[in-house]
Amino acid sequence: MSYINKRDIKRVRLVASLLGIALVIALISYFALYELSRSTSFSLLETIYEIFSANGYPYVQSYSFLNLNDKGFGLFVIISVIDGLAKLIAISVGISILLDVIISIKTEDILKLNSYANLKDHVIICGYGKVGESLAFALEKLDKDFVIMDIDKAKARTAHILGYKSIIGDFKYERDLIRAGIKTAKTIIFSSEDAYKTLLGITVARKLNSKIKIAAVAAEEFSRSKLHRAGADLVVIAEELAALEMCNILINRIKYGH
Amino acid sequence: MENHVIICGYGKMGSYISDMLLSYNIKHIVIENDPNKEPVMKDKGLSYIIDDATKSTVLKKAEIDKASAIVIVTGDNAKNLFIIITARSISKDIYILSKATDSFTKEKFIEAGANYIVTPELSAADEILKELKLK
Repeated sequence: MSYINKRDIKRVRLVASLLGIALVIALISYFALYELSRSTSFSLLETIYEIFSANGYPYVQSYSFLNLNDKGFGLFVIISVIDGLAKLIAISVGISILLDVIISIKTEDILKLNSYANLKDHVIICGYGKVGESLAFALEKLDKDFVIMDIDKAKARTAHILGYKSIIGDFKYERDLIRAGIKTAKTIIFSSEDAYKTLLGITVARKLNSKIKIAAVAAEEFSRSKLHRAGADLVVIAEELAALEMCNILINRIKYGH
Repeated sequence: MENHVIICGYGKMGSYISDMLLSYNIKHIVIENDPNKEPVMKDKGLSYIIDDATKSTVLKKAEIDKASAIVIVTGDNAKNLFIIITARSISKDIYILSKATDSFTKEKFIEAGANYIVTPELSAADEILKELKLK
């Protein structure tokens, strides 16, 4: 249960609150019925039976312990119906949330333990942010084998739901890179813009596989040379590339009239 | 100014674009909301306006009716969309380039009147795949 996160704890609390509310409503109904049975010659169980059984309606009238014309009768039926609905809704919502929590725990178990060490010549994508997503989408279209690694459980789960091979892991740690199959991978791509973390990841990746091609995304120009020195074969700055693309369009239009 | 380029936003992309246009001697004016960026633009000898590019009065001050293109690269998708709509409403012919963060936003920008959209993350992914010969 160490994989339960704050969101799951909130959901469990919500379920507990809903069940608590349902219990309170049920208790109120119980005491109302109890009071009703005390005012008649019937036991509590008989009263409950008479009120809620399919044949209760005509018996109620004939036993006349609770008269149709009684002012309280209509109100009591309304309260009983609301009570039943509240319990039904609370229990249904509670069950679905609990099931969701159980399933998400199970999925996280899988993603934490998954290993793709048997894959060969695949690509490892470290980070399932916008760049990671674009890479995964493109690699899938190109029919290339790849594994996604992200330290964020929600992102790893999203990739898993989309049908990608994915693991929850931190690329700074050898054991997680080994689970991603670094020793037999062809390429590793660090798509996080955190230069320090990427530097560590590159160092570990190079140590585990000296031949692997390493690409990284940098946020700033000054990170580029550092990442190259650490062992990256290719470093790109997303906004610089986009700016270059825009400038090519502008220059062609303005200078050359295209 | 005439046949110039208007750059909305002097962040990473805006400054890259401005530097490249300078190197090609292409006239341009920068519109930036943050007064802290003024010293940098002044040092580089740029023409600039410190104001909100979503306002039509500001775009008119940048002479959008005589500009050949407008580049919209603020850090906010909503702002970028606003500027596209405003620019297109003032000038039917101006070439509008903008930055978007995802393909859904890209579609909306094109519908709003932009001519060309770049998505930096997609550009990075494309470049990586191309250079690593995965594409």
